[in-house]
Amino acid sequence: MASYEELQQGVITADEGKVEDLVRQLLAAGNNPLDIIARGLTAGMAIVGQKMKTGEMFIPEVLASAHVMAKGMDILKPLVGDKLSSIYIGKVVFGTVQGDIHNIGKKIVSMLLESGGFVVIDIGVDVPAAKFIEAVKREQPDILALSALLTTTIPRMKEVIQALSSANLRDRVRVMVGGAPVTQSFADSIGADGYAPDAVLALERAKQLLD
Amino acid sequence: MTTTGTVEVVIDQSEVVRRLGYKGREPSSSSASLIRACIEKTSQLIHPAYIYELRMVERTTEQEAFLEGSLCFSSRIVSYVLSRCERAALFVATIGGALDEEMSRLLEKGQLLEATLLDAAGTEAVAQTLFRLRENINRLAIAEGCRATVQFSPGYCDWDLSQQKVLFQAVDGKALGIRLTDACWMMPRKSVSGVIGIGHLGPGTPPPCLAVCTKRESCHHKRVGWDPEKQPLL
Ligand code: B12
Repeated sequence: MASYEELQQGVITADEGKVEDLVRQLLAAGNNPLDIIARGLTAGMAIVGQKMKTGEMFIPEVLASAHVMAKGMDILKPLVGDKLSSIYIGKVVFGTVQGDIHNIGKKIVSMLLESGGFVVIDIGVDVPAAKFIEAVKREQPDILALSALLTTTIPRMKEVIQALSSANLRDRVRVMVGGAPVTQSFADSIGADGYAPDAVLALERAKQLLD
Repeated sequence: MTTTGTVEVVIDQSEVVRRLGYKGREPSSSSASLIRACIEKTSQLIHPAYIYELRMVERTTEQEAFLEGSLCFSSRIVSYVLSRCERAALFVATIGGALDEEMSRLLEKGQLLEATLLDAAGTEAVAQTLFRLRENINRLAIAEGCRATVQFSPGYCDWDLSQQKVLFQAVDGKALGIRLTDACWMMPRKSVSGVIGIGHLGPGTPPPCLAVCTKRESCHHKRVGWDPEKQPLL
């Protein structure tokens, strides 16, 4: 009989066929879809994150696992209906700042956040401060995540934080920043709440910011 | 004097694996075959080319290097390097924009893994293009009894990224289809720019990093495995 441990293994080894089969078998055996998500898929991804941290898995394997997890979710989501929100731990609005068109780092972090239970609203690249503010008002996220690749564009992060203050939104959202030239001390200097150098640590930091 | 050229590059799988962060470990067999397929695809999408402009070094101060054609580069490191050189090759190199288009297409379809692998393969391809360009310039230098330095690029070390504007005054990036954005980012993405010094350099010339760098803690050269403190300028 299919087990949650097997499903976790399927996620870890990024075996798409196996994950889809096991999800269906677990459903057929009468398991709750929410349990299958939490104890199978999400638990598997948590192990993947750990393995990346300890240097046993690397970005390509992690992305493959996240992709397979998403495939499993595709089967389960329609069955969960409006209870789906109960499995989400938080909401993130994510964009790359104005003048910067870097996308892939943001996408990798988004995927890991999603696989860790966040809903991510990706508002794109080259995003002006006003558009971040609009998105925060509209989506009311727990976290606003900003990405930038260049020393010429990281000053825009500070402008976004200032715009949040001017719009009286600063205490309603946590701000997390990242990207190649960003450091913890830069993040501190602009008044951001969190920083992480890579996607796995970004997920960890985002979870901490929710507390 | 302007020189343009194209090069053939072979994308080395082990280098792509290293760029993906494997730190000497082996990718899983399924990752390895996907990496191979992405290298294959990248090879078909790239058009490696370069353009460089040779300029005389007119004078240098501790902070600045002045080159023929009223060019002024502000960087202690560049100035230190060029103070030992008679000429400089100002260059841009690229693998073209087709890979960018393919990556955008993949990202739109949610194929992040494949896009990430193409990204790393593209980086390796442009790095190889730069390597070949430097070889060409070094050959030219040796034919004249000189040597070429390693390359230095705006945005690295103490050379501010905004100095791309000065470099692009001298080098016609447009000839290779390269455009500079307001934030000094080059499009296509997989492009590099910089300067290579040419001069009567002895093998013992101390590296600028040792002589004048103030950012040794965050040295990117070290992070990529080249220890400038142990190796000379050449
Ligand atoms: C590979 C690389 C290149 C390649 C490819 C570039 C590309 N983007 O496609 C090539 C060789 C072409 C290149 C060229 C240049 N590069 Co370059 N490059 C890098 C390098 C080594 C890695 C960048 C990368 O693609 N990483 C992989 C992606 C997936 O990672 P990422 O986007 O950083 O995202 C990760 C994290 O940052 C984090 N993250 C990202 N966003 C967010 C957001 C949040 C909220 C959080 C928490 C985390 C987070 O998680 C992500 C996943 O792990 C970095 C140095 C470094 N180690 O980061 C320099 C770097 C980006 N380059 C730099 C420079 C200067 C250049 C050039 C300007 C040099 C030149 N004059 O030619 C050019 C510019 C190219 C252009 N088109 O204009 C500088 C930029 C700093 C600056 N001064 O602005 C860097 C930072 C190097 C340095 N230490 O100085 N480069």
